[in-house]
Parts: sequence; C-alpha cells; structure tokens
Amino acid sequence: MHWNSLEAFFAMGGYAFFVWSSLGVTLIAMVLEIWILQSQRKQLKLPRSTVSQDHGNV
Amino acid sequence: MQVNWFKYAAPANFFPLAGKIYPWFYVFAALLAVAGMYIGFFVAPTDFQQGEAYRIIFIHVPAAWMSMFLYLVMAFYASLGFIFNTRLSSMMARAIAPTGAMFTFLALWTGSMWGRPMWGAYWVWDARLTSELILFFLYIGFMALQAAIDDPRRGDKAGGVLALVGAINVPIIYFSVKWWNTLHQGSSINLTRAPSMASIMLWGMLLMALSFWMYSIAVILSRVQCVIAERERRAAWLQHIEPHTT
Amino acid sequence: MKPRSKRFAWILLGLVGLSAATALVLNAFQSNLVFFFTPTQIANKEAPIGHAFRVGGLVEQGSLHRHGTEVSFVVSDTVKSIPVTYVGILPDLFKEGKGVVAEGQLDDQGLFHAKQVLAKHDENYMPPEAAEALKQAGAMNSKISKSIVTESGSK
Repeated sequence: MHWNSLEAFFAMGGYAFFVWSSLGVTLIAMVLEIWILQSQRKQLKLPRSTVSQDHGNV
Repeated sequence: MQVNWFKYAAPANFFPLAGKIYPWFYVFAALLAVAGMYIGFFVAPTDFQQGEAYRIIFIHVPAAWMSMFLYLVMAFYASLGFIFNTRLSSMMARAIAPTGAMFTFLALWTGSMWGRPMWGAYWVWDARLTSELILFFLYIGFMALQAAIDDPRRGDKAGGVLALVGAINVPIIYFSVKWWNTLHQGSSINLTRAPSMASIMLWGMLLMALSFWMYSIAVILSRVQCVIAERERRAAWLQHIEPHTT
Repeated sequence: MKPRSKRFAWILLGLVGLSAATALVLNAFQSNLVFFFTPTQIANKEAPIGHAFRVGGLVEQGSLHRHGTEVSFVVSDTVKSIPVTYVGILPDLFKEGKGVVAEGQLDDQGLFHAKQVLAKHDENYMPPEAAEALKQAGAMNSKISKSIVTESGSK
C-alpha cells in the first residue's frame, strides 16, 4: 500500500482537484452514457441489462 | 409465415446474440477497472518528477487510445457498409460514434486537468492537442450528419464518406508528437523499444485500457440493439420478439 | 419542434462542426504546426523574429536567477542557447536541466522576453528511487535530453 493515511490519499500530493476531477468526470460520463442507453432501451421495449441465464425469450 | 429471412438475415441473427452477450462485458469492464484502479491508485508509486499528478495517466492514456481506436473501427464499419451495402455494418458505425466522442471528450478533459499543474496551461494549440480536438469534431459531425438525413440508407452513405475521409486524422494524432515540435511528450509505449515506464505503472494503465475496451464493447452492443430496433421496427422478425415488461 | 426545423438544426450543427474542424486544420497548417523553435533554429533565423513566438529546450544548469518576481534563465538545445527573462509564476515542473517552452519576443540584444512559461516533461515515468539509481549510474541526463532535445532539435 502506497499511502500513509486517508488524508494523504485524498490530498493526492496537492493535486487533489486535478486528479479527482479527472476521475469524477470520467465516472459521470460513463454513468450518464449507460443511463441514457438504458432509458433508450426502455423506450424501445428492449430487455433490461441483467446478467442472467434466462435469455430464452430473446 | 412469409418472412424474407435472407433480407433480414444479418441483423436478425445478430440482434439476439448482442443482447445475450453485452451484459457480460459490463461485468468484465467493472472487474478490470477495480483491478486497474487498485494498482493505479494504491500500489503504483509516486512519479519522480510529477508526484501524484501523474496518476491521471491511468484514465487519460486509455481514454485517448479508445478515442482513436474506436474511430478506426467506426470508419472500418462505415466503409464496409458503404462499399458492400451491408446494413449491419452501417448500424455498427452509428452505434460506435457516441462512445468514441465520449472517450475523445474524456481524453481532452483529463489532458487539460493534467496540463494545468504540469505544463502550466489547461490548453495549448500544439499538434497533438489540436488533432485530438479535430477528432472530437469529426465524431460530432458524423453523428449530426446521420441525424440530419431522414433516409437511413442515404445517411449511412454520407456518414461512410465522412468517417473514411476523417480517418486520416488518426495517424496524424498518433505521430504528431514525432513529426512536429509539440508541448505534449512522446509516447511511453512503443513497438520499437521498451516502455519508458515502471512496470507496475504500465500494468495499471494496461488494465484500465482493457477495462475501457470491455466497456466500449458492452455499450456499443447495447446501442446497436437500439439502432436495429429503431430501424427495423416494422420488420417481421422483430414482431416475434416478446417485449420484456420488467 | 417540427421535424423539418429539427432536421435543419442538425444540418446547421453539422455545418458548424465541419467548418470549425476545417478552420482548425487550416489554422494549424498555416503556422506549419510548429509549436516552438529551438535555439539552433532561432540562430539560423528560422523563427519569426519581430513577432511573438515560442522557444523550447532545456533550462541550462545554474542559469536560473530570481530578482524579486523577475526570473532569468537560459534555454539551450545543447548546441545554441538563448537567455530568457520572465515576470510571473513558474509551473511546478520548471527546473534546471528540465524541458521548457517560453512564449514571447526576442529583442535586439538577443534577450527573449517571455510572456508565458510552460514546462515540457518527458515520457519517462518511474518511482523516485529508480530515478535516483539511474542518476547515480549517469544514465538519467542522456535519457532526458534525448527525449526532449535531440529529437525535437533535429527537426
């Protein structure tokens, strides 16, 4: 493990804003893309995305 | 039952297959991302000159790779559709564009978040950054063109031309740091020499790249189902698919 | 929105995007895609002297002097060098022996007045201990200068 404390981890050596905003925006973009896609699937009445064995009717 | 199976063969076969496999790629993407982020943020050491700020690399480089790779795949499918008149390839190209645009945006965003503390500027007009911005406009232009043309087959043709012409930009992005004086540094990963990166850092980056790859496959397969469903709404074979109510 | 006006909006967006892309390409090619000039290029009068341009190279060891908010240093590509003066805050990575790109103008005495100073780092990533070991082996400087100076200096 690289970090000595939780504060040190969040501080990112003084670059917290730049590191966390890179990570945050990436996460937001991906969640948004999946959310838009899921609502599109719902609108088109496509099966929801679930990992299951039951795909017999697709 | 008089269904012209030959006509709808490709999308009709592909549709259920895509639906069956795409959720698994979300699982792979999540597992790889957990491993990559763990290595990148907890195991990998501080960089000797950039301190902790270099950790942006674990998102920036995979996003930039995907932005270029997805464009090439999109151009490949679009040109297949253009040359052989295969509908499924053009639909794949349509499904790839939004994800490609998203990764281009992320490469630009994380790049500017990295550039400010390290170089001293959020943005500079050097060859690498400018050509990546052009890639973003190419994706947007492709999507706008497809959305503007009502006749999907004509939209496919027009998009195919744009995607193919724009593909020249991808090698320009890749080699810009070699061909011109840029503020952006050269590639750490090369085919001709050993990577100029500590191996644990390299591992984190490669795992994240693989994760983004799996994510792209999941999203694109899911979206191509939407594109097919929208396009072939009246096609006979889709009527036989029982809609889920959940 | 009516379908027709919606389509018109998309066409407009597409046209704006494409013309923005074309404008950027043309603009980039016009300035010949040169982000900075090396001191050798400036000595050979390849840089647009009299206009603002950028000079890039390594900050020469021992050349950095601070007088209040004013800093002066020498940018070198190991063949030629250019003295630079600058008033302002330097980026975190600005160090002697490291890469730098300064934007500004050259005066009659050959002094470069920088308005902006950017740090150019190389593509090597490693833990500090590894860097220290390399430095002791004497391989570090050649590695850095190879990635920043000779590659771009030869262009």
